[in-house]
Amino acid sequence: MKLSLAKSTFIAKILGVVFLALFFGAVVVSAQEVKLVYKIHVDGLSCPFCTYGIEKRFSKVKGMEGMDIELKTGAIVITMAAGTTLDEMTARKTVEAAGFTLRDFKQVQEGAKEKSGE
Amino acid sequence: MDPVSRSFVKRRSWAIGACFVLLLLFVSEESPGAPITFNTALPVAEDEFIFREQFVFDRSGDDPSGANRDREVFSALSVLGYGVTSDFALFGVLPYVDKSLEVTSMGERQSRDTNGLGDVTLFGRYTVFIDNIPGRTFRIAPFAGVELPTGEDDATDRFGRLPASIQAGSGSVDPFAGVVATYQALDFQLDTSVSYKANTRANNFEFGDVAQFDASIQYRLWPSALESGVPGFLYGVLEGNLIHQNKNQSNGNKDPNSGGTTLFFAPGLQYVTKRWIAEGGVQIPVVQDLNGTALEEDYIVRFGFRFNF
Repeated sequence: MKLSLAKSTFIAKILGVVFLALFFGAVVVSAQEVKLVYKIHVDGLSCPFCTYGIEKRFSKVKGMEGMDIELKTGAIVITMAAGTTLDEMTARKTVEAAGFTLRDFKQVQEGAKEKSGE
Repeated sequence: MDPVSRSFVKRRSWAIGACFVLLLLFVSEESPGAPITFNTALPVAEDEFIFREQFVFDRSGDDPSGANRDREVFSALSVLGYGVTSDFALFGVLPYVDKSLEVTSMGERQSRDTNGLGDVTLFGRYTVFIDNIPGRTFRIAPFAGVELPTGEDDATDRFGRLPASIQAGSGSVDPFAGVVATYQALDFQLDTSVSYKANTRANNFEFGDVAQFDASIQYRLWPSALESGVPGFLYGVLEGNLIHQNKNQSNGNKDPNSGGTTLFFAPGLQYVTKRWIAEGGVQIPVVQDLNGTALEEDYIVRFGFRFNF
């Protein structure tokens, strides 16, 4: 059955809207799924008992999801929750509130994406 | 102890052991930090708490007076520290003491004892100098506080009022101040502290002021090489405590049989993790230059734990 031009145009528009919605929805979902990871180095950190102070201070940073401390090198890897970021000023103040000194700060990679629907 | 070993120890007149009891309390109440027997300048993070419990057993039975005195003091010290800021920390110490003294007097063996909560100590520590480099830190922190007369100071037994030296509390408000410095690296730590406590009068009695110099070295015995993450550390510890106390005063008169200078060496072990510490050590008096026939220390055993939250 042949469709009229008007009906064809209407259907195409509907399909276009649906396509755009799916596209941007995917982008939004993708953005929300990305977890940013940062690596910092802390000076003055030289005993296990002292590392808890840094852990406790960073636990109060909004969006902080996890951290791994490498006492040997003073390196700390911080994983932020999807949709949140960590800036160097916040990291510096947090480290200083624990009694130590921030040596360097960088974002190392985007973390693994969460599977949608999970 | 043979005569040669005793040759460096001066004999003076008699004291019931007041100076040692107070020295014990002073030393133990100043020790919520990384060393076992005194304070540290290591940080308490802002809004962090540290709880410490230390059990102390003090034995003194070497009596040159001939009265065959035998003193035992057991203390349980509860310490809570709080980081107001990363530079300023507050500490409170609540002691429980159980003291007993046996002495032979006029042919009769007398036993006197008391127990209960002792004098609470409150103090603050402020870090004035910090040098942080990779894997190391050096800090200097003065501290000051006061010992409050919360313990019972008028206990009695069948012989009458107990001597001030074996009361649970002093009855007096005693301020103190000092400064501690700490250098910590991944495989060792050095701490040193000087302090002074001004004991004041209560019940017509005043204990002598106490000046103290402490030093500690801790060396990581295990692991020999650091692994990844935050492994637990086993430290070997060696501390020294040089303590001088002035003579006590009773009714305004100095007691010539009180006060003196003692040097302790204290070996110990300490296991440190991210959340808790377990430790123990023994203070051994290697030099005792006492006034009169003061009761000499045999040893002081300390063990305890700490955790943060």
